[in-house]
Amino acid sequence: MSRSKQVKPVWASSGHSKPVSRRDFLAHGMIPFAAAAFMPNWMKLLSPESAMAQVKCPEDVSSMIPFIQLNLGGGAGLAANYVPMDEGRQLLDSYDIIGLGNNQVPVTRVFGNAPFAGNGISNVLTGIQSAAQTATQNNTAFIGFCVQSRDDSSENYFAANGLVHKAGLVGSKLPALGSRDSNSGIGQLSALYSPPSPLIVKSYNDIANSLAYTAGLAALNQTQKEKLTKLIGDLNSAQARKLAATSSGAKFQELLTCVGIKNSELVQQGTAAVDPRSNAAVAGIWGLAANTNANSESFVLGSMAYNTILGQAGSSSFDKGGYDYHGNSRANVTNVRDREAGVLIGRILETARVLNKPVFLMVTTDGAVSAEKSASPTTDFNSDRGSAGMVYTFLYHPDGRPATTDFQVGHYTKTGQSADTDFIIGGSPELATQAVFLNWLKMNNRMDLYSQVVPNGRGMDASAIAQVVKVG
Amino acid sequence: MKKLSNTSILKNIAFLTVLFGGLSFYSFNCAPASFVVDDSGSLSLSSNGEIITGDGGPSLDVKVIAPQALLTSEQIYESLLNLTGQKATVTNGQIQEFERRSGSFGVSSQLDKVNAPMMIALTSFSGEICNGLVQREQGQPADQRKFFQGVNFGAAVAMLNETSYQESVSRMANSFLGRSPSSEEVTLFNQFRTEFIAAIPAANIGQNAQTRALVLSTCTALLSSFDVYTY
Repeated sequence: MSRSKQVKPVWASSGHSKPVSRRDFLAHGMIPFAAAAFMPNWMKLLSPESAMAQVKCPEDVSSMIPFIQLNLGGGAGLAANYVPMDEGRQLLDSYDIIGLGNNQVPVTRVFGNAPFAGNGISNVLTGIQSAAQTATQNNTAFIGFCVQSRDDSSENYFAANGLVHKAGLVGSKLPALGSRDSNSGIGQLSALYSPPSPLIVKSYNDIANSLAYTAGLAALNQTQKEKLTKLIGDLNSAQARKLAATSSGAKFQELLTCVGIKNSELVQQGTAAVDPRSNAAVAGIWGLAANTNANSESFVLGSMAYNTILGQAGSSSFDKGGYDYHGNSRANVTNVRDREAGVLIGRILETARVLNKPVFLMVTTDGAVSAEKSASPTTDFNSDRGSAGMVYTFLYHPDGRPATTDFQVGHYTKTGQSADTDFIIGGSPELATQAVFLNWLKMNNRMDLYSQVVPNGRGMDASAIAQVVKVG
Repeated sequence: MKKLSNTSILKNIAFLTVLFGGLSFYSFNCAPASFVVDDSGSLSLSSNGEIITGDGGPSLDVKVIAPQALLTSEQIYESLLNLTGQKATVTNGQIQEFERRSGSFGVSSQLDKVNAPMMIALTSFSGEICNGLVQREQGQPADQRKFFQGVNFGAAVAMLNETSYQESVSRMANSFLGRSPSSEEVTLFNQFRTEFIAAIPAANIGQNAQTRALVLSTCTALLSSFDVYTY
């Protein structure tokens, strides 16, 4: 038989592509008997008016403290800004391969008692101080975490957004926000849990559009849009009812119903509530105006910070690239980028102040840098050196600086100038992220959640917890 | 022993094929999403040769144990265009809407990753896909249309009777979902039609554009429903 005279399969003439999925095969009558034979429970799942009335959707506003993660992609020299201390919280013998010269590095104590390189050597600090008012700094505590990590890698388990979501941090309008197409929304792997698909924000419009219909549906009037949203919610509930046979399937059906309810509310509310320009003080911090480019970094991160701090979004996780910067002039490149990171940190803290809300800010990177051995505290960085890794956390509260018992978790080796892997978190980004999570829980006064979120065998025991929790 | 005819043998082969095909499907269809590689204890070297211990390994995310998974971003794009027969005629508007929305779709196929903005994004993208579909059929003689044969796009929406509307719903359901609409779905669509028309201001009720808007919305709802964005 010639090819042209072969009978076309049903799927080809129906406009469908070749069936490859269960639904495809069912649609083309290929496995109906199998479906009935092996999933008999499905036949009785189509009872109407089932779970809908019993659905209990999550509370609208989370009581947990907003959590923001700023990820400096490429291996920033965090240990050349904050001055890591040894186990006894004394200066190391030398900082000459970290890039802070010998032990004569000038130390300034900020955010309570945290040691940063003074005399303008820490450009992260310079940036923070340029963007955050003294009142903001006075209500901010700092804890540094000494942890080695892989250089130039997006496979360090530093993303904390899944953990904080699991502990109950959810947004009233938006999910967790991210800035990169990955499960975590940044260039880090999720520690233990990934969050529900983060909304990837590459432009402010991504946030605004997430609450509205555009293009072909823009012409519908508001009531029609709401009716359409309701219809889709009802269809989803009806079609997903077949999953109710399993406990996880039932949970999903409930989730889907809640999504439908939430969407009806969101479509009614519109986008003004998520626009940081609606608050003049916040707009001023981020330099936002009516004509600001929606793709600009300040608009994107300003929107993320604004919505997370207000509780309208879950956590925010933001990637800032350009920190694989060794080999460049410290004065002309490295310091400039460190200062930019500091400005973003300062703006986030300042946003919390003007909104009168607390915030927990985690700053991560992948790996770190080393410098040519030198007595100078401003030597150029010349290579990667993940063993000198750090994580920063900044804790802001409008009622006053959160109490802390220490400014550092873990320590650097006295002579090796690297994070000590003998300490609990020193060689494990995942445990370091858990330590950050624990301090966030402590700030929330919800330490009880740790054992609920982190199962036995993957978490820390009471002794370890006592060593890593520094929030007083 | 009774000798089986060729027809009987073929029937039995077909039966066994379906039986074991179904069994293997329900055993393994979603295997990639359910199985997780355990990389605990792995080690890596930092740039200067120092050993960094591997982290704890597999994600603890709870997998939804159901024979369904979400379409990922690219699959949504391909699937919606294919279902409406527009793969070869994709418009700039459709590409732009997908790019505008793709950040909301996520990269995970796990069912429990669904959230409200994802559904709004899917609806909006479906709306633009349906916009192209309606535009194509609107330009065709009624008897050559695939979905909207009984729709008079040149008349007021009140002229679209329930029978013609249901016929369009049925045709779209058969094409998009691979099945006829259930009685519950038919009821939902009929109710939607009534409420949609009631929401039109009196001054606009006679506009032909409202007929198009109803058809567009109906198409969008079906294309945004659970059975389309899961497999």
